[in-house]
Amino acid sequence: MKRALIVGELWATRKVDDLVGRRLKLVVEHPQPGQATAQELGEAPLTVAIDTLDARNGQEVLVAYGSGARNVLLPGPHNRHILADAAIALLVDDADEGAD
Amino acid sequence: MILGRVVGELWATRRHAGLDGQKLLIVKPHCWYCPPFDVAHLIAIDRLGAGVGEDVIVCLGEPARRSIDDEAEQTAAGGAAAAPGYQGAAFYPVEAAVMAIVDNVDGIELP
Repeated sequence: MKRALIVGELWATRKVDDLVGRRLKLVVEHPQPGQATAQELGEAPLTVAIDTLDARNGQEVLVAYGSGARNVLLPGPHNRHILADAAIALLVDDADEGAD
Repeated sequence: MILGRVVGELWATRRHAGLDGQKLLIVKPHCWYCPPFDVAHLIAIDRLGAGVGEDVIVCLGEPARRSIDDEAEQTAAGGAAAAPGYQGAAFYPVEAAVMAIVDNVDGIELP
């Protein structure tokens, strides 16, 4: 999982069945989203993640990749047919990173 | 998943059997890994009918491979009751698939 910041939203009418009723968010990966500058965010990797938690714009989230993303959408052993490789697993309230 | 724009289409007569009937699109990612590099592109299979110039969401890795087996494999197995996604597609040479055609983007400016 990686920390990321929600920076936008996507809409699509034509999509695979697995995506029907799902929201799509644009997220920027960053190790410390709370302290990221605009320039850092502009250069950071931008990915698309499925959002089941109704995250707001600017919210810090944790994004699960790979089979972890499928487990967000359908927990259990029979989810391998789902076409998804990134999903928002949780919304971060607070992170304590110590003195450093 | 990554966001990209369809810039072309590919045709091939001689191809792996697992790719039979699959449409191949050339997709240029808007931003992939840091820093974004202009010449990067990838080839994705498309079952939604995306056209050149459209923005698409591309799913990478194993899920892309699994996505193409459901119909072909289920009929080949005579509709046998295997869980979807568990059969032959695991051996197909595919690792990118179009999962949605984007209508509208909010939050970033696309070129």
